[in-house]
Amino acid sequence: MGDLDAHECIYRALSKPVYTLIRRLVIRPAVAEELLQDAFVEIFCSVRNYRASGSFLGWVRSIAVSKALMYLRSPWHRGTTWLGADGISSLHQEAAAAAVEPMDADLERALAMLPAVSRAVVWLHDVEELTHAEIARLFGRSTSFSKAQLARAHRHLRERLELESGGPTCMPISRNC
Amino acid sequence: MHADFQELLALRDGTPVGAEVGQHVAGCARCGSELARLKRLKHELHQLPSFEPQEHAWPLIRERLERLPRRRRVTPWAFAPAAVAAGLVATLTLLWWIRLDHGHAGSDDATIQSLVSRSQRLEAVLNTLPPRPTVERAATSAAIDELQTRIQILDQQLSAAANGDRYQTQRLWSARVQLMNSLVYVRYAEAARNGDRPDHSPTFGAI
Repeated sequence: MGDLDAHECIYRALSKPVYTLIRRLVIRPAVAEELLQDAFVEIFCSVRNYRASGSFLGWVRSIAVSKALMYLRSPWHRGTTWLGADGISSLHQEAAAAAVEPMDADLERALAMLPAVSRAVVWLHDVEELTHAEIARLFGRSTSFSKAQLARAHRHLRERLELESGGPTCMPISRNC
Repeated sequence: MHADFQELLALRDGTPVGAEVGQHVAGCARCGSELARLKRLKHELHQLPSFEPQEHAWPLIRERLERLPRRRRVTPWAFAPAAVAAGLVATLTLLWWIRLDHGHAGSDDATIQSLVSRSQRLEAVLNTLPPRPTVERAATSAAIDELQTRIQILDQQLSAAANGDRYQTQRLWSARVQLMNSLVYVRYAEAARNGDRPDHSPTFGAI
């Protein structure tokens, strides 16, 4: 029972940041709840393997991100998403935006409507402060992939936010003055 | 030539970019304002609210942990105390047997009967202890399993030796008393650790 009490303490301390991270990556609350459970079961099963070479929260976060990315890559998730040429599904966008509360939160909505991979990269880099190298490792890709996805995410965010605010719909940065 | 998104993001994050890009952004109102916007956006992303998991999440995780096979939650070194305990019991049993070997001539019905009675009293003490918890330390569980297995083996040997020589029977009953003694100690410690402290402490000297 001692172990379970200790596990509960760890859960109480870390569940909020871990759940927030998962929610930001997968958006849907029901899926995020399930992934949160999976992540903590995995954490407690392998907690003795944790070596104090990095922060404990960092180690916990890597497990949570792996779970979320596995879900995003799974046929079950992809089966519910019709990917367009740019990786965005209008059906998926609507579902994602509908999951955002409150609905008038422009940034929340713009973030939720990003393609899943771009959203994950922008969140992991800009909020969780992961480096491009760390993100690349999580995705099994190169740092160029991470940098390109981040730039792409910001381009989408700007377009979406300008649309929401009624501003100019297009203000591309040309490489020509 | 204006900076592109990747260059502006690199500038925002303080990662190296070409000197000409930095100079351009420093002197270009459009790129400067875009850089400021990206910094603002990053700050706003940080300010987005956190989410609280549902209250029922922990009970569900706990339930899943309790359902896991016990072995998955332990590492080999967790069995070290159990191995030490089992080794101690085995050594004591061996010493007891050696001592009996030397005092072979003293085997008689009265001695055997005395050992049987002690074994029965230890069984009775064991039955008064609370039931075993569903979740417990792996080391304790392994030690108890080891002792119970050894007792079962002894019982089989006692059945086979029921009409054998008295010396052999006495040795087996002696070993059984030793093992029962150890088992009661471990079970008592287990019950005490789980808060089910029994009404009496095991006073085996009297038994």
